[in-house]
Amino acid sequence: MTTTIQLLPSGVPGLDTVLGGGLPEYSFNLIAGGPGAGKTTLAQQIVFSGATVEAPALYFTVLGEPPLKMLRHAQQYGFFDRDKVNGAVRFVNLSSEALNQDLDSVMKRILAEVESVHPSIVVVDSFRTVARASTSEAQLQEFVQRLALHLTGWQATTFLVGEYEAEESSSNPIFTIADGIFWLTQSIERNACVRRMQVTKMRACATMPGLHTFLISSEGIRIFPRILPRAGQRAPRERAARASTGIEGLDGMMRGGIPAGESALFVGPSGSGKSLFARHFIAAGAEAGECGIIAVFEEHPGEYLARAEAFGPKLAKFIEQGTVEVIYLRSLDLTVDETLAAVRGAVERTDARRLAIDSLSGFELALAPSHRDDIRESIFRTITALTGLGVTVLMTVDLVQSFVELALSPHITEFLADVLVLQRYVELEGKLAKVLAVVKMRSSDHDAAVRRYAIERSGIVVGESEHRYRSILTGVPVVRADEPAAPFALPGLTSDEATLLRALRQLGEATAGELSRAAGLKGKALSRALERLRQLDYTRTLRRRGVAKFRAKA
Amino acid sequence: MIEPRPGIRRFVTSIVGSAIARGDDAGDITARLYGTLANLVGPAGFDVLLARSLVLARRDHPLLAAVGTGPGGVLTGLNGGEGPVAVQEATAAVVCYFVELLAVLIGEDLAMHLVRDAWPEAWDTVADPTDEEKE
Repeated sequence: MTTTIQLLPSGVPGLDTVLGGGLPEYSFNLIAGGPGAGKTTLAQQIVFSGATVEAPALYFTVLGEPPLKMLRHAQQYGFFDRDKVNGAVRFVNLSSEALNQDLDSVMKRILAEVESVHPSIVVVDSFRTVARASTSEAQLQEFVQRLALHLTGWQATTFLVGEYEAEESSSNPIFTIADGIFWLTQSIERNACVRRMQVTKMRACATMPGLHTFLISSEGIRIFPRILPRAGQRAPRERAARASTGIEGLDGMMRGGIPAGESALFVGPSGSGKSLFARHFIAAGAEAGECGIIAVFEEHPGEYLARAEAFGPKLAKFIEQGTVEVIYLRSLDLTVDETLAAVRGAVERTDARRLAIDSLSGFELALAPSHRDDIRESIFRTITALTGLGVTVLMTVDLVQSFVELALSPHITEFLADVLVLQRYVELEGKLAKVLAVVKMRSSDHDAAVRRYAIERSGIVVGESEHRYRSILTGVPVVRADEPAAPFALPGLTSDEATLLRALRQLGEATAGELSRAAGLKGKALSRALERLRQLDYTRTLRRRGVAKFRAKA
Repeated sequence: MIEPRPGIRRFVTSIVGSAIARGDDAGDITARLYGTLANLVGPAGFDVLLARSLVLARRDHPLLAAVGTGPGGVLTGLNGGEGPVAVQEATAAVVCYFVELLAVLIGEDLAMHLVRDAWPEAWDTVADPTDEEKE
């Protein structure tokens, strides 16, 4: 019969995921790292989380931080429990034994306490100072081996805490004997401080490889496992399901909207309405009863929502209902995994089906410099993790417009998204106009036409294809030579709208009824066409003796 | 200058009074504290706190001038020549400062939690000063 190694909950958020389930029972571990790396905090958090009166912990303090100060500092963390001190958690000071540089007396004292208390967890902090009492490497090796043997015999899960350098790992016997090694580091990169943990060894456990970032806050340590996408991780989804963008014309181009559970990247220059597309997308979901999250990096949520109130679509009622949440991630030393954890937490908490990341440019700026270097990997991991949850993700990104090349995104990130929408400024008839094109949709047919769009009071309105022009993406389009000369240009209009406008221009001024007869349009089709002509600034409405009349603008 | 807070003063005065009534002397009382705390803060840590407490208590209790500390947290040289009341008050003053110092360093809650471990029998008879403050 084989032995199953029990995995104990570490009490450190994220650590059990890194360890593949938890701390192996009776393992003999080393927590290593430089000064201030968080070694003692990690050990204390494990101890205070796991120790009980029935399964107590013994915490041996040696010649490191004076015990009084350690207790003073430990109380600042949420995991500290006064009632456990000297009960479930017993602190024993070994300074005298260590000062005498007598490893035998250190061992005797440790074993005497272990035999007396029967601990489930044992910590020696700092073990480095105990090791200094050894006169040779052989003596240290023998000491560590005896200690590991005894503590395993007493069924204790052990943590030796010490300041070690990476170079020592090949020569110091403790690294060979330890079942598990936790390396903690903190590095300053430009002006940002990033803490990382690596479990370089954990016998009999499938740990997550690589460096995992972590934070130390008033609650203690929180690790953000570096989650890597796995094949087939995407949530199953209905092939035909679409997430409406909330913009009729754009949904039409996408054959109904963004395929549900996929990612879309809206790329455009500053002021082209990217955030507005994001808000339309989230509001459309909320209207349909789907919760949505907007992750903002550049603006405080208050400012962001004020902008939504001013320029639409209004989100306040959805926020009040709890169907929309705006999360603000603004720091210059965020890690990708920290960001992911915050976004993922919000998605899971609200069961959100839609997420808008507004914008990737702000996301990049909020990351610690070292993570900015890996921005493509960061975006890839973010998208994969979120679409893996079945969430439809819309991201915006700033792109400096160029008319000498057709760049689709900064950092060549466009291939990471399933859907790509490109926004551009172009000159049309002497005016600066906005156009967009759905450049790609991985899993769907789409309309690839370049269409003009306008930002109206009610939001974005996407018009018809600008087929009369060629070279539109050069920024200076020219009218096609083969295009029959039109009595006047009607860019961005449907055929109904164009017919209505022509009729209005012939009539000069007309009521809705007169227009209906002249253009052959009725009811909603007539109202919609009239509203669109007004939004696109082709018409104005007048009041003549209480009757609404329409007139075409010159 | 550090002064023991009233709750600690009342608690310690009561503990010391009961201990002396049972026949303990100053050395027994501090040794009892040592037994509970030395493991936690280390013998050296305990000695530092006790030595500072003695210096602070000497301001109001001149009979402590000749008193010193010995191994195991014992106060030495405090005899009854000045009368039992003066000895009891001086002992209580040293312990008061000791507990106050501990409270300043590790917080009153934890300090009282540890000190009460030294006199478990006092749990039922002496009110916890932190409880009084909460009321």
